[in-house]
Amino acid sequence: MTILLKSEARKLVYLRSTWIIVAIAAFFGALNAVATGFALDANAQDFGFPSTETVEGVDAVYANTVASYFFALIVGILIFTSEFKHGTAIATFLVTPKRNLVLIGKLIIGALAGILIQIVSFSSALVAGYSYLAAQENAASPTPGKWISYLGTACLSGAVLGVVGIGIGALIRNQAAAITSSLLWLLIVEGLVTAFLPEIGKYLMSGAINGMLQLEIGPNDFNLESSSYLSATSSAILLIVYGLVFSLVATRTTIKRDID
Amino acid sequence: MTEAVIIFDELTKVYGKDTVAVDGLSASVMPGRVTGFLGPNGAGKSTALRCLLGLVTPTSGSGKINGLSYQELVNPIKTVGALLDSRGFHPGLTALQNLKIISAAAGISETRIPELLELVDLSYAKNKRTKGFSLGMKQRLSLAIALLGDPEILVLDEPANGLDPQGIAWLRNLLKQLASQGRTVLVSSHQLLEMQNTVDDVIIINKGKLVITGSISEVCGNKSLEETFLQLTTRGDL
Repeated sequence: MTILLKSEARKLVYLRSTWIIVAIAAFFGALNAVATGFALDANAQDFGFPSTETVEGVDAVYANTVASYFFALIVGILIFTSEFKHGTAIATFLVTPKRNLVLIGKLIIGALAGILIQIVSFSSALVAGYSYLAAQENAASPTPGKWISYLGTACLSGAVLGVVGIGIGALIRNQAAAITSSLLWLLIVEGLVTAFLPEIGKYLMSGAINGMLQLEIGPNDFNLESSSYLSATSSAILLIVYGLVFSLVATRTTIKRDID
Repeated sequence: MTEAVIIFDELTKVYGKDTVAVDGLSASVMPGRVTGFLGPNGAGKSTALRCLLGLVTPTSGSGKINGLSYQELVNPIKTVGALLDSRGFHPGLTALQNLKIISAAAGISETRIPELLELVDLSYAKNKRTKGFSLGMKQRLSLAIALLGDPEILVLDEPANGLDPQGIAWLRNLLKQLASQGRTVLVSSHQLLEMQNTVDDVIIINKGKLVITGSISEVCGNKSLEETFLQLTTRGDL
């Protein structure tokens, strides 16, 4: 397994596109943190959000340390679909014909890549959020210890979304179709359901991530309050279940299908 | 009596409900010989080879190597080297990086990579991204990958595709050199004149079925391989 992991890791590390995605995720996290601060301070009253003069507002700014989880999903999809897009699946499965081993290797590397992306994005969003708040005259301090739960959420969501991406890649081998449909689902469909149908949304992946964040920013137009979601523990368990289900999907589909 | 190293036993592959790619193929490949696997386009050669290498699951029958299915081989890449598709490497990576990835997965020392690049005449391009490679260069790199594990058996699907005349001559000499080292080579190709000069035995298939198999002298008699092939594979079609 060690040699397989080494090979799978090299496939990611050697590619420029991997590092471009990591850089974009870092930028996205930082941009979101600053943009959230601006948005809260500029027009919080209109949507019922707190400003950065409150603890809740500051927590909301730092919640963007988790925002780049969908980049982990993209990398997961790329790990699997690249093999078929470029025909390298043949060499991969000729070297290791026991496909479940290849899948386990990819799932582990996908999870690690997702964690890496989220840690880098977490760091940049933390620095950007801190810089923004430091520039405000009356910014509040965050909830003590909140960053630990944010870091945990970032790592878990990165790992799970990386694994989910591999499962989606195994199901939809066309790279463009897999990425487009997944992002539409995660960012548009889940976003809308989570905002407007929280009874259902809390069971979706983004709902579970929001549940882990446990944002206490009061009643607002987008249901971004902890009472709309499952508890942090239940949300974490739900997210892990998503990862396990997609791992199973990836394994089942890859073992059965012909490699043409 | 020498035992065959590759055996196709009533191998059948049906896609969907009724698209028969390989139809009850039975044939064997003897050790230390170059065997040509010939057939018109769509005859089922590539599908049969993919079944043999565990990439495609047969509908029935089997393809075995040293009596084992490909998945059962202890260290497959050190037993069988395969060239199936000249797209088998990432275009965003260099030749060297592609080889390093496969050597890592196979647990093969990277010290073998420079000598292989030298063998396939690609040392000068080792640090170039493969998206800039010509088809001939890709075929050479695919051959390097097939030889990475220093295998006793080689399965090559259309290895001459994209090679220029010098490349074809180089490939002919390489195959002869590999066979002279006692390796078994199963090679599919459309280039019958070239095959006549290279192979010891032939397996000819058409529409998924075995047409004839044997040594080239048994199969062709005093005719050329091309004449024999056309006679056997167009019978009933003209």
